[in-house]
Amino acid sequence: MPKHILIVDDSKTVRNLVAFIMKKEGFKVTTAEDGLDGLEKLYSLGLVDLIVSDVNMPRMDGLTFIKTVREQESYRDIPIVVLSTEGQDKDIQTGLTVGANLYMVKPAQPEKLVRNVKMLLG
Amino acid sequence: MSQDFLDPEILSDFFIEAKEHLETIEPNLLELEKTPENLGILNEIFRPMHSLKGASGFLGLNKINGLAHKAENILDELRQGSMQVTEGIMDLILSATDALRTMVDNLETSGVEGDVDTEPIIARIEAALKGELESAPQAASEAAAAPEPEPEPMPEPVVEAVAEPKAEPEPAADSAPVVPASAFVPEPDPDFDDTPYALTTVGEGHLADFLEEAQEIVENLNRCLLALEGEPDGADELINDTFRYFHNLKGNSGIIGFKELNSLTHEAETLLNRVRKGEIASSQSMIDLLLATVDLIETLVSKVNVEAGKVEPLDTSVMAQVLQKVTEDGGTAAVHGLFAGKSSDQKDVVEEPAESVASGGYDPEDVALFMTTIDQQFQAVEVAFRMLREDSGQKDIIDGLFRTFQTIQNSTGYMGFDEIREYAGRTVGLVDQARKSDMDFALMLDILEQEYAILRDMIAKAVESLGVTPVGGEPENAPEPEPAPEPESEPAPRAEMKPESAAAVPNPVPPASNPVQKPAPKSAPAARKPMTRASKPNGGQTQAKPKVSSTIRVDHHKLDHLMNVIGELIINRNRYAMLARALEEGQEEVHVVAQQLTETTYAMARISDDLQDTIMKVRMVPVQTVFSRFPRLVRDLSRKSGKQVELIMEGEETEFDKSVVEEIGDPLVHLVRNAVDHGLESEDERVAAGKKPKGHVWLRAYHKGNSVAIEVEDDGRGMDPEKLKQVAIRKGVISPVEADSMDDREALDLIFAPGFSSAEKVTDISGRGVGMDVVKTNIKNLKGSVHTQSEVGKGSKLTLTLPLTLAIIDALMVQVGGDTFAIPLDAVSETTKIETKKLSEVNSRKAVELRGEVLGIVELAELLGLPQSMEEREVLPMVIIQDNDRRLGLVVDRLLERQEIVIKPLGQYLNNFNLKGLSGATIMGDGSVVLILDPHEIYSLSTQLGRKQNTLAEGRAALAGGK
Repeated sequence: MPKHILIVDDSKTVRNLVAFIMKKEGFKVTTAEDGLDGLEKLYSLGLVDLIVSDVNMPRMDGLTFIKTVREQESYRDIPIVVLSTEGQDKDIQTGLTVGANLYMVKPAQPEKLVRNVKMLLG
Repeated sequence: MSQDFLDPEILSDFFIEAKEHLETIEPNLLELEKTPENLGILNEIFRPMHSLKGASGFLGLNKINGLAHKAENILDELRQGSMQVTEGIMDLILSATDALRTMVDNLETSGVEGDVDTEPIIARIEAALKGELESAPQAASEAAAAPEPEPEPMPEPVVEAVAEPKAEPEPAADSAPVVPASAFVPEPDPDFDDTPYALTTVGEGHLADFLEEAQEIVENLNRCLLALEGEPDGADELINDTFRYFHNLKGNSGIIGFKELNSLTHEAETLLNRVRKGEIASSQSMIDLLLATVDLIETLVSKVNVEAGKVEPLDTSVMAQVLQKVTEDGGTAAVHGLFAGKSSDQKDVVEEPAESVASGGYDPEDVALFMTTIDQQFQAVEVAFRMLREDSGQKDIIDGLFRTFQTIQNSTGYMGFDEIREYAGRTVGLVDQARKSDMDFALMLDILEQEYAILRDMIAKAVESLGVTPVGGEPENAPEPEPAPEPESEPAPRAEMKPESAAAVPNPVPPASNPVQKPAPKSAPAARKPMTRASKPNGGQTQAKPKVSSTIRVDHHKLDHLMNVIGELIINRNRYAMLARALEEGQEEVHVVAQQLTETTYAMARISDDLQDTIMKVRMVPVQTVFSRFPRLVRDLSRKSGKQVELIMEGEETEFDKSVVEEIGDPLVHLVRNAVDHGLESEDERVAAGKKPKGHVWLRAYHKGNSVAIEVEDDGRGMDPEKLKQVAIRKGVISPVEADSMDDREALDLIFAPGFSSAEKVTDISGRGVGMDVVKTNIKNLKGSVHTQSEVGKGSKLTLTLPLTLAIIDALMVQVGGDTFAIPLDAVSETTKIETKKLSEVNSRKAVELRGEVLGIVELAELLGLPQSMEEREVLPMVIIQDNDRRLGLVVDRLLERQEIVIKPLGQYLNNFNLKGLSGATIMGDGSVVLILDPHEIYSLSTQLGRKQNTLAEGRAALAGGK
């Protein structure tokens, strides 16, 4: 069974690129364009193996999205990677506190992201 | 990642995004120039530039990325207040955005960033950053000292091969080893290390797969190259194949971290890409070179040890340099004779950058990623402990702790630290048990802290064994290397897979040319300042799509609604089917069915209205997208002409149909340019005329009934109708007789006449004719009209009136000469009936007095060349049309109903006839075709008609007088 990854990013460029890379790596991919969309997708999928999420997004930002995801018991252990342009220590800290497993700073090289995703999936 | 093989969709996403960013940047820059102290605007400029940098970096668009990065740097300095906003700096940033735009455009049209020379701009920015903006020469020399940027963007830093012979080149096997005059001598990499290193493999068999594929590719390459040798030109497909094979091998080698193979195939790919595009001709010597490269690749591949998962590397830098040189030169001349043999088996053992050696089998990239990951986990654990000490009941924190340990477990597993993984696994289990039971988590904290301390130690030891010193805990975010150009010392291309080596070795690549490698948040902390996109005041700008893009961004609520309506449509369709069946079966009373049919038809009407409405809304975009380019245009014009101009834009948020917005740009540029260039007087003239020295140009958009209007107004010198007429006569556009019969308004319209050129300097109107006929044609194509108002000494105003949508209009149907015609309802001011006997004749034109106002009257049949019947009738049905503030009564045979019609173009064939007065056609419910009249043209037809009759009458009178 290929691992299923949910990618949440409002930039279509980033979203599709990450999806493209992940698909190339054999992952199953679902994309969402903001936090709210991400929640909808997540609920309709039931469960995914990993989530990659941006922070700055319209409608619902990534931090709220992660927080909301984490509020549900079934989602509390899904690995979540934050992929954000903001990379100050306090941003990273906030990201981790709300429930991300890893905080990556954009522009992350695609192969780095792939490796990190694999790392988190063990 | 090479931009050639990017998914086209991803690229097109990028175009849209990039243009949006640029469109956001520019107006804000101009605003900033006006209010340099407004730091808020700087943030508005900084953010899109930052995003542009991010997106381009993601796609490996190095040139765009490099420039955006520099621009970001300077914006950051401005934002920090360590630099002042000056005109020079504004020019610099504007030139950078121009270059960025050009590259994005190039990329969109041709697929490459193009040969935009970003280096001078970057050099100037660098100089400016050092506070030496004015001392241009120094900046230039600095730029020269730095390695040249590559002609083709490449994903890795490549040092230009230098023309200083240092070491002996590899002896060439068969060709004469004559070193040509250019003395290009590739050198082996002095830092080359032949210590075997581990390849990154994913799962079992991955490496074997790689080798199998590599061998297949080598075979294919040999086959293709030999075939190419047979027919060096005209073999596009072969070249494409060859390119693709190199590309695939590059990709594959990149994935497994085979650095040498990766860089070599990259060079070959780059070269072939240029050949493929026809920039370099393929030649025998090039095929020799490529064959030699393939041989070397074969050797390299054979060095892979599948069992150990390692490779014993070869120094391929010589071949890479040769390939690079050929790519740069566009020919093999300089390297002739250097490559015929296999490049190198030489082992030039020099110390590799420490970390690669020390990592002893670990991919440094992985190590770096691992360190970052672990570092974040440690941070998170410590925070979690602290918070749990305060309140151990926080479930979410406990979950966080669980995740953290799990992440440690997984990532250590990934790195192959099995012992640590097991240990972390036990810790994970502990946390899991604790959270599942009802126990107070506080009891767990001590033991977990101990576990954590142990894990920490274990990881620290493991990392130490890798020989990597964590750089501030985040080796990935290495500080930017100083630009210390020493190309000779290190001619070997750094492999793209290990960017962190940039920090460890003196890297000759200046930061600008390859910023992808340096996320470097440490060195540019402000770059990561939180910027909330949503709270952006003029966020509307980014919502709108750029002018040339062929996609449209739709709020998905609108789509949802559309889907909903479609659903209703389908239900309705089923209802029709049901009614038809009811009629067939004859079980229901006909009148009942008829009643239901009527209801269903009403429902259908409602649905189709709704559909139309929704789809119209989907197509609407704010005119902002067009307007946004004008501040820049006006600024440039103002600087060029030395006139002070203020552009005042109003109604940017007015929504237009997308097709209108796309087409309106060019005509508007003409109008605005004319307003600044010719409409406004010079400062002296203005002062002399008692005006304020600063000229004003207004650009307004607003809704006007069922149409939209755009006005371009200036407070300049205005146009003198008399002078216009004289010019037109001199140019032969009109005859003196025609000129006499023209009123001022018609005279003003002369500026739109073809041939009314401005080559000749006429004091007050010079240049007004340039391209104005084109403007008029463009507007007409949009089913719109232009209206000119001008007052000498006060200024001019041009109003473009355009339909809200190009597809559907409200129209009044009339019958003329037995045919039906549609008149756009916008243009109809009223309909009336008049008695024939009330008609009078003014100036040999028919007229009627209507509510105290004289109204010119013409029989539509006459204008359209249909049989006339006005004389025979007693009562004339009349449509009064309005073309801006002119009115005209059109006599028709019958007034029919008002109707919504769908505009269909007349088609190319009919357009060839230049049919006057018609703007399109529509199809009626019964399938018949009805022509749509163009009120604006109808009006001008009527004036021409009047003039003709006038001239005729005068001619007759003259003849009579002569007798």
